Order: sequence, then C-alpha cells, then structure tokens
Amino acid sequence: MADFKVIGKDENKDKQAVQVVTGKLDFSADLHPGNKLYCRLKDSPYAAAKITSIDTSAAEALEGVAGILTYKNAGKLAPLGLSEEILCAGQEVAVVAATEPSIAEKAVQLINVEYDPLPFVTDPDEAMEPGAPLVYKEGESNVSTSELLRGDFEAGFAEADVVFETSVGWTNYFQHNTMETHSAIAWWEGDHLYSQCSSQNVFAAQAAVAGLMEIPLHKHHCISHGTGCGYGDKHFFGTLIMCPEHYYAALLSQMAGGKPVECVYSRYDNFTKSSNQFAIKADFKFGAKSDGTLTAIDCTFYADDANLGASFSGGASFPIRSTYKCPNGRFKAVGIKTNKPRTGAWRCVADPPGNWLTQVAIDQLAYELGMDPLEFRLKNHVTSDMPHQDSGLIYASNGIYECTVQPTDAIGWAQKWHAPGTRTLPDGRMHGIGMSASIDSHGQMSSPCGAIINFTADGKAQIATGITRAGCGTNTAHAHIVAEKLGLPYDDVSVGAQGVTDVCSDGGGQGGSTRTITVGAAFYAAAEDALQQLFARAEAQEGIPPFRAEGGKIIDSTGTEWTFADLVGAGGQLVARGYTWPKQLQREHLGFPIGTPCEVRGVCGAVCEVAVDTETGEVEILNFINCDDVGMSMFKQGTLNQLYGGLEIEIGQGMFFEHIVDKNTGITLNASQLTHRWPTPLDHDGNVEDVIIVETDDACGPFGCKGIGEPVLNSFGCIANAVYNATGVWVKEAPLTPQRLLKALGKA
Amino acid sequence: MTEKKNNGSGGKTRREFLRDAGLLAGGTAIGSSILLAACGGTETITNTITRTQTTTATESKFVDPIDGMEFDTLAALQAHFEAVHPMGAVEGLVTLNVNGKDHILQIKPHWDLAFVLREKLGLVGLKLSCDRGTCGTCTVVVDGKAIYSCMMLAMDAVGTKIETIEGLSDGAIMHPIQQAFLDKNAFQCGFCIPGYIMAAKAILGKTPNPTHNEVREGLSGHFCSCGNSKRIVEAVKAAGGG
Repeated sequence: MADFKVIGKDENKDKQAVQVVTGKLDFSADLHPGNKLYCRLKDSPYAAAKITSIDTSAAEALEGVAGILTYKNAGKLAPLGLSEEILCAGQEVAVVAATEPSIAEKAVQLINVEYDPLPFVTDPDEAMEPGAPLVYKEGESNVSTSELLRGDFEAGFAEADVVFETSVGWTNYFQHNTMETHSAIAWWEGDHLYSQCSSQNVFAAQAAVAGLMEIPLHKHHCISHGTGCGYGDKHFFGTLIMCPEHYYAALLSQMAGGKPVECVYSRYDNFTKSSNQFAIKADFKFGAKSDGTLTAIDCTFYADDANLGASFSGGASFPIRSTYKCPNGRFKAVGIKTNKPRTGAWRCVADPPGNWLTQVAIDQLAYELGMDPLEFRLKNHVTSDMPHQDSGLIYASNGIYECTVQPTDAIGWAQKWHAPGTRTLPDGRMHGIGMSASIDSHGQMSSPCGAIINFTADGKAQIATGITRAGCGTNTAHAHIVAEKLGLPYDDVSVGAQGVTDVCSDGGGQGGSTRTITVGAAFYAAAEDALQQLFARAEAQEGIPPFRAEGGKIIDSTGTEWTFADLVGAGGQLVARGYTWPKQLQREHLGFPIGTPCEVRGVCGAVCEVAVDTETGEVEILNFINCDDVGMSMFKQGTLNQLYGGLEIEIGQGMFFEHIVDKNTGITLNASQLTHRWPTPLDHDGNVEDVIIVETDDACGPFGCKGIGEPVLNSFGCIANAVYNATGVWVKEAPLTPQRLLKALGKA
Repeated sequence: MTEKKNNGSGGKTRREFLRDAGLLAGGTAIGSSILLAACGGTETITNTITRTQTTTATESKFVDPIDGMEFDTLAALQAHFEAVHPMGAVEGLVTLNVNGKDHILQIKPHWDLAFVLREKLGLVGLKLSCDRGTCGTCTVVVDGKAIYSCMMLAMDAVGTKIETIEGLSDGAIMHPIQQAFLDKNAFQCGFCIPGYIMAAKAILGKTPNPTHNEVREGLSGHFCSCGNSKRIVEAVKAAGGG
C-alpha cells in the first residue's frame, strides 16, 4: 500500500470545522433573517380523499399573507405534494407565505377545505388482500412483484440435506429524522431565480425547480452550503417529489414580487411529507448440506412502499444475493402500496431492513444446523476474489473476510459465544453475543461528475465542489486527494465554493456512498490536469522534462525547482478541471487488466454483546464494534465519525425508532423526535462503542478509496442475534423494544 | 409554569402582559424588523446575501424600529427616539442583553426567544429542528442555564443575560469548548452542534469537571441524528479538563 503524505493522517481536520463549531456554517433557513416571508403548510386530516373544494378567501384577506398555494395553482407534482387526490394523512393541501410565522399559521387555519373521504389502507398485509382499498385508484392492485433467478433453485433444494424455512419481520417504519428539516429559501431578481436549499443533489434541484418554474437552467442560481444531514430524503431522483418545499418557495416568491420566501418544514411536516424508511418482511427457505454448505435460497421480500410510485423492495435481496455463496436461488420482491406517509431510500436502497431480516434468518439457520453463527458465515461467505454471482463482475475490493473476522476476534467471540440462554451474569441478567456481516449495494461509481481546482497567486489550491456539506466528510476527503496528488501540504488546499451551481461543476447526487469515489475520481483527474499545466509552464521556463511534483514544488529532470507560486503567476490564473472516470479497474487486480468493469460495494460487519433483563425486557449494550471496509481512508477522522455515527444510528434503528400510524385514521401519532425515540447521549454510552477500519485499497477508486456514506448497514441485526443468544427467544420484529421482547418471552 | 415578574412588561405578569398586548395588537403599527442597537451600538446590522455566499454586511443607516424613520446619524436617531418614544411608553419595547450587549427591540408578546434572536438580531447560529422543546438545537444560555430558546418567550428573557454561540468566539480564537469540539472532531453535519456547545457551556459553568455520566445526563435533552454523541461527550469532558 502506498505511503501517503496527506491521506489518512490522524491530525487532519475537517476543512470546515471552524465554521461548524462557531455556528457560521449557513443552512438555507439562515439567510435573510427578518427580511423574508415564512411558509406554513396545511395538512389533510384524511389518509385517502378527494378534495371537493378549497376556500382560501378568508386567509387571503388576513393582513400579512403574501401568497397561498393549492393544487389549483401549484399542482404540478400531483398525485404527491399539492394534489386534488390525497394519498396519506398529513399530505399538504395548501402552503401559505406570510410576513410572520404566526400569521401564516393563522392563515392555514382560515383555509377551508372540503373533502370526499375515500377508503384507505395503512397495513401492508391488509393492502395485499384482494379487495383492499386501492392507494392509486387507477391501478388494479396495491402489489407489484419482481423476481431474480440464479441457477436451478429446485435442484438446489433436491440436493440439500436440510431444508429450513422461516419468516421474519416486519422491520420498523420510521422517519429519516434529519436534524435540519426540509428547507429552502428562494427569491427572484428579474427573471432570475436565486435559491438555497437543503439538498443531497443541488444540480438536480436546480434543474427540477427551473423546469417547474419554466425558466432556463442558467437563470436558476442554486446553492446548497450546509445540509443538516440527508439520509435519502433530500435526494432528487429526477423529479421533485422528495423536496417540493424548494418549488413552493420559488413559486410563492414569484407571487410576492420576488421577495425572499423561506419554506421550512416543521418536524410534523418532516414526518408526514418527507421520506420514511419503509418496513420490510421476508419469507426465507434455505437448502443446505449437513456440513452447512448452502445449496439453494428461495426468498421473498415484501416492502411497504407507502404511497411512493416506485418500489424499493427489489433492493432488499442485495445483501443475501451478494454475501453468501450459493449456486441456486430465487429472489422475489413484492412492493406494496399503502396510505402511510411517503417512504424513500434510507441509508442505501433497501439494504438496512433487508440486512436485518437476512442476518436474523442466517443466524436461525446456523442454530438449526447446530453451528456457531460465525462458523456458518465463514463457511458460506463469498471470497474476495469471486466475481459477483449475478453480475459476473469482479470486485475492485472486497473485505468481507476481514469484516467478519476482525470484529469477532476483537470482541473475543471464540471465548464468549455460547449456546442460547446458557450464560447468566452475576447480576442475574442473561449474557448474549451476536454478529452480522454483509456486502451491500451502495458504493458504486455513478453519474458523471466534474471537479474544479482554482489556484491562488501564492500557489495554494481551492477546490470548488458541486456537492453540499452534509456531514460525511466528503469535501474534506476530496481536499486530501487533491493535496496528495499535487504534493501540496494539507493546509495548502482549502474547500472553496461548494454546492454553488454558478461556479462549481455538477457533483451528482449524494446518495449510495458514491461521492467520495465518484467526485474523488474527478478531483484526482483535475489534479492531474493541474500538474500537466504546471509542467507545461515549467517547460516554457526552460525546464527539462520529465517533471515531478514534490513538497509543494515542481522539479525537472536536472533538479531545477519552481514553487507553485512561481508557475501560477501573479494573477492566480490557473484553473484545473477533471471528470469522473468509468467504473473500471484503474490498475491490475486479481489478474484482470486496467479497464475491466468491476463492482465497488460497501462491505461491513459488526458484533455486539448484550445483557438482557428477562423480567423487564430491558437490553443493555455491553460492547459494540462496527467494522467497515473503506477501501482506503482518505480523511481518517471523517471515516471514524462515519463509523461511530453508523453504530449509533443502527442502535437507534435496532432498538428505538418507530413512526406509529394509527390504523383507524392513518394519522401519525408520534411526530416528535422524543416519542419517535431518537436516542440521546443518555441512551448511547460511548464507552462501549468501538470501530475497526478495514483498508482494502480499492482498485477502482482514486488512491484506493471508496464511499462510506452508509457505514455498517447490517449492525442492527446483530442486536437481535445477541438477544437470541442471551434468551433463546427470537424477536422477529424491529425495533427490539422491551415490550416486544417480553411478548416473545411470553411475559406480556 | 409559575408566573413571574419581569421588568420588560412593566411589572405585569406574563399573562397580564399577553392579554394587554393582545388587545393592543390590532391597532399597533409594528415597526420595521431592522434593529436599533441604541445602547452603545453605533450600527444597524442587516444580513445580506451575495450570489455565492452569505456575508454579514454593515450599513450606516439609522432606523427607528417603531416608526421606520431614517436618520443619518446615531445622535439624531437617539434624539428623535427619546423625544417620541420614551422608554415604557411604547408597548413591546424591551431591552434584551445578548452576549454582553443591550439591544432595544420592539417585540410582539407571542414571539419566542429563538425567533427574536434569529430573525430580529440575525443570530442564526442557533438552529430550529423541532420548534417544540425536544431536540436541543436552539439551546442558548440564559443566566447560566441551558434553555431551549424555542420554548421561552422573548418577553421572559428581559432582564436576563443571554449567551449564544456567536458570543463565544469572533471566529479567530476559539472558546475552549469550541476548541475541544475541534480537537475531538466532534461533529458531522453540524446542525446540532451550536446547541450542544451552549449546553456544554451551562454544564461546565455548574460542574467544571464533569464525569462521563454527568456529561451524558447534561446533554440528554439533545439529539444528533448523525450519531456523533460518543465524540460530543468526549469533547465536553475534555473541555472540562477530564
């Protein structure tokens, strides 16, 4: 592995650290304080309905009201967003802009909406039944299915010694809960639209809102500086359904003569109008030899897609398809529409719930076969030199073995694992240990991106990046790549313009753990472009090739040196650009030549120990280790933050989060971070949290990197496995709350 | 909630003040949102935006927040102000002490402290995430205590000393708590961080050297959806010397 000068150094800080700790990083709601209009949204009380009339006259007459949107003047996103048809309780039916939030709130109350309520269904099992109310009335059913076949699964079962079937789920339906709710501010200068948004894809936001406002793209000047987290809910998939607030702000500003309008979701709006993680359940049938070797997998994943037009159910089988060697399989996916508030991809596509179900089912199978779950996994996991069993492509890196062995070694699995329900702690609680490991669908290079490096007259570099600062450390990782390639000290590269469509190159969508590697490749290429320009200038000053860059200098073959400042010149006129390369090997790997198409995937593992009080159902995490194959860590502290963050989020997903929708009305009952149970520092004990970084030197990524935007998506499965190991009882639904555990124990 | 006396509402209880102000609200012209920093201040501050980034610009105009009249000099404004709006004679005219400076503002009785700090004083370091006393992102320190500013009426903050993240540092030299967050890399997206830092200030003001669990307890009114509480707790402990 390379000996890096900048990359992976512990001491390197986030390039925007000072902005963050001083509160100066600007989020969209921070603009134009006191000099803007504020929006409030009116909600549908019905889970399914048709609007028969809307009377906004009393609201319009209220002093301070500047504009009101309904489906009649802003229904371009129907059937989602403002629409005559209502698909879930809490869907917006009007948006008001006023000079004060309280005036907008009063105006919302003065809007009179008449509905024709329609039958609805929020339970996905009921929605699958024939005759269930249809979510999309023009459809024939709420169900869509897809299937992927590998080998001959029937033959695989015929040769099995053991056939084991299990059903697991539902996993939890929960709110993405970004700390910054959806927000955007927009204003007009003539026929030019200016906006700042909370977005995971600022260039797509620019295009989508320009399209809706029917203005050419170059007249929409869009910014996303700080994004207070995005788990998929602030993404743009070519349409605006994920972030309609941006469109509402732009349209209301136009109606108000161009005055800045801020549209910021309330926490309730985020629950009912932005994305929630969908719940999934699955049926598994495994065929295995008596020594534990898998011969066939037949599984069906059912996803409650709520009212989202697309289905994410197919993604749920990715981990089971990718992680385990098995020549024969049938992988079915069933997408189900319900009248719940909308869903969307959360930290990868459907891998977190898909993983939870898979990790629990695999443990069940291992115990059925009388095997230690670690032994079963090591026997059946794919190896790093195997191509993906469905795509046939080799992996540019695959640390599945390391991610299985390193955390279990670190925790002392061999000494600590025991038969279920057999180890009592001195205080009377039961001890359990569980693990998980998987190859997930995120991490691919995607969408062509550009990158720009601007040099200043003193020979330092500023990177201009088309992505926002969402907290994953991506922009700082890119600064590492640029500094390393240019041979500049880390401090000589800063993050300049970011997420500004006027001056940056499109950085694509910040989803799927794709930006470090994809935009990173563009920055690597931009740094190469910079070096070529610097070498050409040195040659023009009678330097003799070949040149090299080292220690902040350009050196020719005779040892003559130029500083970057010498070559950039007094005007600072050196701009370098680069573009993403295709998803191919950048060096020989596993005997395959440069240019071979490849897989780049997130690979991770986890292990945890728990103490379970079988009288109260309380589960205490005693020890939790997250492990991720990160390719090579560019920005070490950012990598660590991602892994720690992934660990705490997975504990939340495994034991806490739940968006509860009343079955009788479709109304959200717990639209608050408190009752939805987002864990606080009192729920997490950092002293029991640990992480392991596995470096596999990815053969596709610049300097071997790959994305870690969605670290360790399987680790919440290891909690359920640990609780089984402690109690001998399976809790087959998430989150694993004391109530669910007591029920499983027959005590509630 | 107990009713309490406060100076800004002329010795009335908050309920009395709200009732009276509500009666007046319909007929009272509320002034410009521009702030008059009359006591010791010499400038009117507005936040402006350039096309590529936010900046804080300073303009030399002097605007009466109540009647909107503009003056070329502070002295002229002060003379006009004292003549036309003697203190106590204007409903909703209060003094808020923020980061050691007095600000005279005309506020409405239902405005919460978060709204006034953000929208009327431009102190946007505090964030709103739940706007209902749940998440901690709007935390400021009021008389040494960590307070959810979304849950405190601005009127109730009259006579107190309010500290916000902007008061900790001018941007060049970090407050020790900020330095600890930097040293421990204790942040990700950063949206919750100003709230955590202000809560830390209150914790350390009361318990200079807190234990691990004291810090966790002190921060239990905060969420970080990135999942960074391990390092946040470590940073606060480090700032306390532990």
